[in-house]
Amino acid sequence: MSNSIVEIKNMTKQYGKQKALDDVSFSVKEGSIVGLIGPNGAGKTTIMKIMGGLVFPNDGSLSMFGASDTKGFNLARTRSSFMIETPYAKANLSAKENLEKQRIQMGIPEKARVTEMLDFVGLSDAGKKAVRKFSLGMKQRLGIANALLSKPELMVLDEPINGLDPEGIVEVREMLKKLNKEQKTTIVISSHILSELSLLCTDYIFINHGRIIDTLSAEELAAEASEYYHIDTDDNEKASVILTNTLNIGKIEALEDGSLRIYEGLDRIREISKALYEGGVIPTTLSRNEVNLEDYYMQKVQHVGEEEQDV
Amino acid sequence: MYNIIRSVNYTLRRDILVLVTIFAMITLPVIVLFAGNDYSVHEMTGSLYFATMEDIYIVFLIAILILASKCCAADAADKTINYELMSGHRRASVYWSRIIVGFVWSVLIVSVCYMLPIGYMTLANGLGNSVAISDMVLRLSLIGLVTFRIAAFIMMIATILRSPGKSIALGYIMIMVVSMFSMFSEDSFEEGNWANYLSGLAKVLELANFKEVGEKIFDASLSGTIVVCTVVSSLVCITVYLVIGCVAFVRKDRD
Repeated sequence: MSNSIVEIKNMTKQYGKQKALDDVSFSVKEGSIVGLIGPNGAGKTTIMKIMGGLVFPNDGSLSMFGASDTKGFNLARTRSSFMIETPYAKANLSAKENLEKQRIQMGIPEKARVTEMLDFVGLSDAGKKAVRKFSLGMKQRLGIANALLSKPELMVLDEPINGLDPEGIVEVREMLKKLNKEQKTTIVISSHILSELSLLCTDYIFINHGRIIDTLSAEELAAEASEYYHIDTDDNEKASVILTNTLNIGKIEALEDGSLRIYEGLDRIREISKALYEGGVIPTTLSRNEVNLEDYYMQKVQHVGEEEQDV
Repeated sequence: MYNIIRSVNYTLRRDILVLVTIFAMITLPVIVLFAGNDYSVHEMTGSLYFATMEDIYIVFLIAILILASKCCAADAADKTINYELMSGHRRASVYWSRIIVGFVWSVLIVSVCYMLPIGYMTLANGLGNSVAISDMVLRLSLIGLVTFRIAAFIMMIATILRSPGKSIALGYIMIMVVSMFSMFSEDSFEEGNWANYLSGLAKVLELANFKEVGEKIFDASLSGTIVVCTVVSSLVCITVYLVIGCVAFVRKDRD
């Protein structure tokens, strides 16, 4: 069984009257890539800030690399790197100068590490250009270079692919996979691009309104993934009635755009088409899909929202 | 701590505002000397310059405001200070490193710039006998100590506000308001006026203000009470300001 590199137990954080974290508990296994998934304001960044020592929790406990006191945390943080919110940088300095400042601050003796990292993230051509003139993607690359400078064992990345072009997104994904595979770097990552997380993460933590609503591994998600037919017609309401009454299909979900998802009778495509045709409904879309991370997330958030409303 | 000091220095050396401020500190006293003084440059000795140029301290006050605020709040404003905290440095180390850099960049550089024109004038026209050397050294030392107090006050504000701009503005307003209180009290900036102890600036202006007892001759002697009270009030204020800043830095969440 893998060791936990980070363990958070019953963590609570309150900003004024607003509860940012409410009794949050989870652990991060060594060598895993954990995706923190949740809407804006869910508490993802607060968790990362607590791990980085920027914010103090009101209650609960944190353990990093087995340490659970201030001195131990400081030592653990020398083995970690953080990129939280937008990458911080000195606007009047160049990428190289920003990395050099960071190298000095961290006491990294190898000066060549700065150029190495600039090459690695593709910023070696930026030259003396001040960071204030950088695009969001370039700033993001600089943030990643900063995070990699100390060869960390644990990386905590908040929206690292935000603002990157498609090519950049793939590069970052491959780079993180490589670091995880070759150097056994443990990664905690948050992103709104769930399709990207699904290509990267080994574990997922779903968080909403400061509470963990689900945790599962990539294998568990795959097992949970169910297939469905996505149907869009010229009259979806009528189509829903036909499918229920004629074919006795009960598990039908109406989406926000009016189109339907059928989770039953997946082997009855001929019957479905025929029933719709005979009922005078013309299908415009009829495709077989699988529930992905995005669907799973939406279901979870929706489910929790309904439960809260009931309460 | 040493790495943080080096890192902050690295940034400050590349900050245009800091470099312009230092350039202004070196050149402005010379301009003032030529433009607005009762004495000609040829008759201005080192000691006469020291005895008659008390107003130049206002320029240095602005410089202290800029340099101390930059040292303590620039990295907080763009959040690059967060990297230091996330890299495993103790919060207290991050704070005290900045205070050390702040004192070096504001007090030491300002003190050197304050004394440079005295040096130029001494080289050009000699030290002269307008003020006794022992009195001059004592007053300069006390001015230096009070400058530490002013810098500590600004660094406290900068640490709490986390913005150099706001810190410069608020620091300036607060220093001026308290100094005006001294000014409106009886015998403003006169030696021994108790109100001068409330404001670092008022105290400096008191220490840089001399009674002319003859032609180009000034009485710069200080009573023991003034010396002791100035030292004690400065040390107390420095300690209080730095401790308040430290508590605010170590205990508060970073955004």
